[in-house]
Amino acid sequence: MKVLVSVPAVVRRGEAFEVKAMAMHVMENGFRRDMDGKAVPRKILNHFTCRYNGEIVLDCDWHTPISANPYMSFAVKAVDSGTLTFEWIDDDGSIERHSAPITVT
Amino acid sequence: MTRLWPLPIFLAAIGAALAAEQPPRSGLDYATPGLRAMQADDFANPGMLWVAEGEALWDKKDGMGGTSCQSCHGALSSMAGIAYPRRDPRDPSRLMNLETRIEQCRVDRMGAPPFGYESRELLALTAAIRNQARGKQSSVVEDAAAIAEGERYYRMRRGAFDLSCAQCHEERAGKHLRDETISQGQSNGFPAYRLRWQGLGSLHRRFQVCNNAVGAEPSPLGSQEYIALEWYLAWRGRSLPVETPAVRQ
Amino acid sequence: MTAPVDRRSLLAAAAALTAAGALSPAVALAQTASNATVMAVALRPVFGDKPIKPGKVQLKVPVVAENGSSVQVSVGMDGPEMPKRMVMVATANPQPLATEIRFGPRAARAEVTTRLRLARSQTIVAAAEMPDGTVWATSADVTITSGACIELGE
Repeated sequence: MKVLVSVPAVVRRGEAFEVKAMAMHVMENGFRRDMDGKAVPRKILNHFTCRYNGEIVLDCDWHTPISANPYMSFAVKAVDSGTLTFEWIDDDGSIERHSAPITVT
Repeated sequence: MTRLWPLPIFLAAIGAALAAEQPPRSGLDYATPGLRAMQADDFANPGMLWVAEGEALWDKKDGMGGTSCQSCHGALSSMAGIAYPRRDPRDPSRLMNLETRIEQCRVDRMGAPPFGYESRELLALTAAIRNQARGKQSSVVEDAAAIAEGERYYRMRRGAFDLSCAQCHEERAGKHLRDETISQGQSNGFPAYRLRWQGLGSLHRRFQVCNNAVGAEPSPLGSQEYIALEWYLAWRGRSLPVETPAVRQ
Repeated sequence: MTAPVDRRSLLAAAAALTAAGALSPAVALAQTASNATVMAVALRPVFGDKPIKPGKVQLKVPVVAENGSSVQVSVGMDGPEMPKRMVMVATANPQPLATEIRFGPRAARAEVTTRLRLARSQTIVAAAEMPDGTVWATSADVTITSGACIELGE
């Protein structure tokens, strides 16, 4: 699964910085029918987590009203240089992980 | 078939065409502030997910020869100046757009299976290549015959509503149809991310939507008549900067 | 035959009445009451019988969205207080609960922007459960317009 994440390369300690994360996913909500009238089974990303050096920034449950190619932006507090990690969990059990380095001055 | 028009009718037609002539305006001009913001930010524009995938595909080895696009063409950025559609050098009667050119390259040069028109991979690669020219005017091959053929399609009334492309996107551009402003139908943002599609889609898929909307039988994706129309649209909007991947309703 | 009343003149009359304040107090009261009900109903599956207090939560949605498939929504708090969790509910969707967000120690603010797929025009509800157990909520209405052309298979 393709994901795109925006994290500033360098931030000042104590500052808040914005993070944006987007994943390529149809987020099939399970309510649609195909051309033959058969129900299209639900398949969404149901969980999204962002951690900063292992500590939780936010942890979300996603349900069917979340749009296709889900997008989230949020504010993180700069503490130490290290890594932001992102995790998306699919209904089929697969997990997509992504990480981005950050330098705190 | 060609036939000569009586001179007065010909002049009247030219006059009407000139009256309808407006400076090219991108679909972006008609978009809401929310959509414009979404397109402008690479990390909020979902079309960039396809561009990112296309960038990876550019370097991915595939096919019998174990080559990638990069093996022959070098860096993806070298694609910024390419001009499509163009004629197939081996059969000049055949028109090729970027999508059909990529497919031909895969089959003939790489010995790899074609991706299929409107497949995620072909959209991704097409978007990544077009994205190299973002912000610049795209080059158009000045092929009068092909452009004229595309314009003929553009001006031909069709379907149950008996409407030509020109009647909406030239004569009525800027007017309102229900809650939407009719755009000039420019092609500079394709492949584009449409909210209705909830994904990236090709210009030819958009043509099919228009054909369906006027009750006309859509042509197949990648068909010669659609490539000719694509060529005319590229020429008609040649002063506009490439926006791929644009975000539209 | 009566004179035809067109939509434009009705709208103009409605606008004039609103501007004159003729309708506003009654309408505002009715709206507050109905919003409290909408919020209570929307949040019961998450917070049970806990009382829902209006306020503290900020919710930004477009008044009109051109397409229901991707509507940008932002939630936040009035002050620096960090809630235990926040939820967003799309009240007219077949499954209304959209997301539940739990903020950890590295969040700078309880603030998130995301995009929702909305089945139709509706009220969006956002709520925050505070560390003391109280639940605060706010709501906003979004109108989904339809496109100009009918698209087969979209």
